[in-house]
Amino acid sequence: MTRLRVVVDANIAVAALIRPGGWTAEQLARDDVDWLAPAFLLDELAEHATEYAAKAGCGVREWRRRLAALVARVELVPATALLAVKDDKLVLAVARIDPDDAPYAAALVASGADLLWTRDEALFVALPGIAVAVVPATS
Amino acid sequence: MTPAKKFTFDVPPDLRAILDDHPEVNWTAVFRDAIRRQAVAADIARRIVEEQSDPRIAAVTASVKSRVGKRFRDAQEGKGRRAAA
Repeated sequence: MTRLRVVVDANIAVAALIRPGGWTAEQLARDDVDWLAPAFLLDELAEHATEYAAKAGCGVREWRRRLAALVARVELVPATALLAVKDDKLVLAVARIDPDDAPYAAALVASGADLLWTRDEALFVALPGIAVAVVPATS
Repeated sequence: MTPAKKFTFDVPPDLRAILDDHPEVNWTAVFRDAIRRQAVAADIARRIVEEQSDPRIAAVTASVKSRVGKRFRDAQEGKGRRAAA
């Protein structure tokens, strides 16, 4: 069976980092899915670790430990690959609705992923059938 | 471990007539599967809502999303470290 390839939105990554025992973190531990994310997302979460750890209510060390666990499960789509598809019609369509969603659409196009996992209403509108709130079971 | 629970419920006459016409179907299994699917969906929905109502997640997501968007736009314009790399 072909494995699902799924890009995770910022809201998904953040939910898993802030609630490591929550449903989102449980889902990201699934082995039947290849998880992907734009490299910019992980750069941001690492570079502002102190600020985000404070907002999350945990220490910086704990934040970095959680982030390392996330990075171990998520394949990063490099900046060069994201920039190569910046003018793709799907990326431009998403950017017209919300420019901040463009990196995730670019990750989707660049990686050839099947789905984008999000909790962002704008993405459900922009990418019907591709943006999902729940990643379906593959078996 | 919680013991199994027995449920009893009524079906309307029109539905009962259809059920009776198909004795080859294991209706108990069909009902059990339907209840399981609905229960799991309700549980997922509750856990998602729980996370969505966590103000920490909303606050961090708002910052991250706009900054990552800016990184992507800056890279397109040749600004930023990754674009230069």
